[in-house]
Amino acid sequence: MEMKRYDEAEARKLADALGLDKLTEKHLQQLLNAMRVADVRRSLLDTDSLSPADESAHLFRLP
Amino acid sequence: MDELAYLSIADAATLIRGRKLSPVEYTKALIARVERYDAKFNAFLRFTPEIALADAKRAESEIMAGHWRSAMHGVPYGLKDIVDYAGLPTTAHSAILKDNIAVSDAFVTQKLRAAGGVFMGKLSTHEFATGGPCFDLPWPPARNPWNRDHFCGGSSSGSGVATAAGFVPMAIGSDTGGSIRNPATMCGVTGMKGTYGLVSRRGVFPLAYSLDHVGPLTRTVRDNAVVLNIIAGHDAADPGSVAATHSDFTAQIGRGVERMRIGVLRHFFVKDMQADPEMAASIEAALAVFADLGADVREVTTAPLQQFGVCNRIILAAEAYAIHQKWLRERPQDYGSITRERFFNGAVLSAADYINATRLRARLTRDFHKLFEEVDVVVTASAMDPACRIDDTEANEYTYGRQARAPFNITGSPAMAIPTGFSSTGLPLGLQIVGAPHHEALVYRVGAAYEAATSWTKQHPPIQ
Repeated sequence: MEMKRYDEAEARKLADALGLDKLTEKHLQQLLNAMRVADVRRSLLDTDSLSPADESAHLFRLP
Repeated sequence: MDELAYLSIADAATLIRGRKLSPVEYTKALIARVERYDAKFNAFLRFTPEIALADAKRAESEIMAGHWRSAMHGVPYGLKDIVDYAGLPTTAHSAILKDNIAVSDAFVTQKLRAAGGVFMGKLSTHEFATGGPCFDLPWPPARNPWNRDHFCGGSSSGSGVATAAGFVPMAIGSDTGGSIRNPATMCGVTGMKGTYGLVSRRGVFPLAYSLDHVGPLTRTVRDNAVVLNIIAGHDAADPGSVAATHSDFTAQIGRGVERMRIGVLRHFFVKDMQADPEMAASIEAALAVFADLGADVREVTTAPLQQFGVCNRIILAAEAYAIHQKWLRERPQDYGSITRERFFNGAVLSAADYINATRLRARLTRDFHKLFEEVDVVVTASAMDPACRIDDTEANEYTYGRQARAPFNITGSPAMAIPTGFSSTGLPLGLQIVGAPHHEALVYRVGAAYEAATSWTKQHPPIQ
């Protein structure tokens, strides 16, 4: 699977949307790395094999 | 001094109870050892000899008056610095919390104080139990006692170092993706995280609520079981705490492994990831020991290691970001570089990513637990590699994910790392023993049988 290529402008846009408005250039570079890492992890998560009936491990339970 | 430094808890308890060892003299010997050597290893973030001596004097008075409380009475211990000790800072090794004074004891601290333990201090951790080894924090990272140029594992790094270096016979750590078992393997000691919820997390700074475990690092398997007996138990204030009572975790130690069914998750360290040859060979040699002891050693399989790994990382990152979002907005510069980037990994995930990971978690857990219909315990790798150099950023990055510990945070299973020898460069090797939920006693039984058949735990780092 080909990964999307992000640039610094996209990292800046995401940081603004997340309220991360005190990031330095170095921090933005780290956010950019995190965007790439998230894409890799997302691609490795075997969601295709999940059926709608496969529920979360964290269920709401009444006492 | 080495004689007391490497005394087991079990032996110390016998001597102390029989009034053949003074808790004050024992504590003074370990204090002197920390003062002499810890500047090289940075195990302690906050060393508290004054508290230790007061605890030791109290213990000695009580024991002399005939009030022996437990195997930890008069025995020194340390706490990873994400665990609250009332009146002392809990910094999580971070500038963010450098002035954070704990107002009360963590549950596990309460248990150890009630047991009469001697508190030696707060121990180094990777920042917020995740970002390390890091050189841009207010305190330096801990170093491996077998070779201080090498990484000591983490995130319970000080806990592993202090135990291996003979500064304390036991230290408390926490484990969200392997953070007790990693320093145990890198430092050549025993580290156990019990079943999820067995030990209360109250008063322990969270990394990821649904994956966090608290547990002991010790030099022997029996000592580990002794400590788990003390710190396990229901806590209504921890929503994840298991309501059931537990039996004696030492009960099966000494029964051996004859006819026990030991499943080997070999695909984790041979196919899904290729372990370093020396690490793989030490695991195979340990499996041969189990077979020689009469165990039925057989191969088992479950989902690929990568599925567990990615599931753990997504859940961990999402939950951690929820905790750190406010500080990342207000004080991003106060985090170490590694920590900040790891927490950003959670910022960029969607709600669907997190929920899908938890859906996959349910299935991975269900499938893994089925293995215990055919075997009693499972053995697999802990780390894929011996400790790399602490200053080698690339090697640290490379080896960070090369591990088989995170699966058992996903499944909530009891999992223990034990030493299995040394690399050709003199660095510790190890493996993991994993049980079905609430089968810690069985895990200890298997670990103790291996320990009794080998001599690894009798070897100590060449500290001078």
